[in-house]
Amino acid sequence: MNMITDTSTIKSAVVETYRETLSAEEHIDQFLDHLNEANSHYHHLNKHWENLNEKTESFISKFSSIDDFTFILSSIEGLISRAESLLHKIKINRQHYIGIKTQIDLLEENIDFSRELCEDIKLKIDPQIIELGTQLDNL
Amino acid sequence: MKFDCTNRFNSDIQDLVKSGYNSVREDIRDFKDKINSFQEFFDLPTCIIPSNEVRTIKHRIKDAFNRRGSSGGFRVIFIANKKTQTVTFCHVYPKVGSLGKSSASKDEVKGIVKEYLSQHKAKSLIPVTFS
Repeated sequence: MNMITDTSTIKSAVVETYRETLSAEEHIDQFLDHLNEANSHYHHLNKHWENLNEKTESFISKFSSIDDFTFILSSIEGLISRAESLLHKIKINRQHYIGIKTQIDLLEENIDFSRELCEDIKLKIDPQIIELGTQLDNL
Repeated sequence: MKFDCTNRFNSDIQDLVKSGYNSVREDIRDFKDKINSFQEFFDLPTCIIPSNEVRTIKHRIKDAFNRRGSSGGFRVIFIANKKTQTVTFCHVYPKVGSLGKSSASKDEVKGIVKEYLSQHKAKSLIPVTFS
């Protein structure tokens, strides 16, 4: 523990760490923006569908003849068919949600590793541990 | 170059295998086999107690059975003694799972080193086998 790193190396390490912290913060903000944007798209999609169902229900309540029901039935069936194909597309992309979960887990793991590095540094500067290092050297 | 271990390391291995970390022996053996000389062990950058002669080093290794890379795998703490050219495995723990912990505490590290000192003096360190 006698070697002293030169000042410029320490300074550049601190500057680099600070710069990387800002950059990581920016990336996390961007990630959250995208996540919120995607969530908002799905929210609008579902709202839109809810409105569509309400409108259809209201139309049906006004109909009475078999012909009216037959026309609206075929129209709703067409709508369902398009909706199913849309849902299928969304389900195909489900892997992206799983991907997001993996990325969040990885981020957690990376932050945890940074914590571990801090704990290791604390050991290196702890007087009792330094004393044990001396005992090891004197074996 | 010689390899041995402390009693704690032996019981760590047994506990880990019992708890489903089935590949721990092989994973440590793989790590050991990848390093060709004592100096390489001694120079690993993840030294937690630096010294010119007897270094305490913590190294990250993968958990092959649970398919975890080195960051989520095992941490192995060993002491590399330049005077005797011996690597002594002292402690191994997983980062995740039922026995997982985020890091070894200061008290644990103190205990690990004291155990090594005592077993080294008593010449009771155990020759290591990973079979």
